[in-house]
Amino acid sequence: MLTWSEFAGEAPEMAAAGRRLLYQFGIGLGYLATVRGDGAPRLHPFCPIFWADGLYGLILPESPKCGDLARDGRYAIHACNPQDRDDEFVVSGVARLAGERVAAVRAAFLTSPGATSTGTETCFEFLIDRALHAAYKPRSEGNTWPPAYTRWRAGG
Amino acid sequence: MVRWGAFESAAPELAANGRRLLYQGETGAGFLGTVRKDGGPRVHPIFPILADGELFGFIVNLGWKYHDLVRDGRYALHSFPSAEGGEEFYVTGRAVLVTDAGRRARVVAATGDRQGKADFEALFAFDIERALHTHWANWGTPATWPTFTKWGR
Repeated sequence: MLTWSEFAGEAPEMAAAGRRLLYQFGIGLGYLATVRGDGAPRLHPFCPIFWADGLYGLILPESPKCGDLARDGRYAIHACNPQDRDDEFVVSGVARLAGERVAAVRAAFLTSPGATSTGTETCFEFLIDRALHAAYKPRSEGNTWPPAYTRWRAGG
Repeated sequence: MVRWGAFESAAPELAANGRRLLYQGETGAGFLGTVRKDGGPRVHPIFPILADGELFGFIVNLGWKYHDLVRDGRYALHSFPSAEGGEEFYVTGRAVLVTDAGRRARVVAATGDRQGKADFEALFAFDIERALHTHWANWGTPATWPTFTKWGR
């Protein structure tokens, strides 16, 4: 299970592509899947934040996904595709509480356009054990299938 | 657990918002959350289809999410970001593999023959247990605040 920077050290092109997709709107945007208490999946948008060496999220403590991550840190994050093509980027691993970094992560987040904070969020760092990138041709080229897949897994 | 049509009858405004947010382009689009064999979450894009009073999706039968749904049909489906921002639609429930050829043919026809023509595209019906529409007032400003409309248990 690696930090974002460690992952980027092992798979720099993929990490760069993933970062571009997660930050394509100026503010981070991804879809965060977690596991509910009954084992079913939960899925909601959230704002991934790159700070220092890591990938972070500020999650409202009263939100169900905060409870999910505190109980079972396993997560998957999927980026949105760009407007003209269907590129995909997904990472998964385990989230861990990072309360001691919350002020710095919040300060970094608030530099993004449109970012807001209640000042009460719980800070998680997302450690990575798998990543997948799918690069498609632009939709204007007609048949874009199949994409070029790149996969990475911690420890090879 | 109900089909889309029953959900639509019970909560027409919520269902209309859901349909609009799932169909922001020519085809439906959303993110599908499933449960991996080891119990961890998985998320991938999907093209949801509303046809015949049901919510469907074609899923390649070689992919992980196909195996997830066959093993444990519990799913979560979220709309793509709304064009203007500030709106979300979310449903959860259980997906069931559709093997009836006539039902499949109707869904293929509903996509204008763009989906489901290949045998490796498995058809799932997504029954609905809960639905949520979120509207963010003052979107993109520090004063943004959500209003939730919920249906289901």
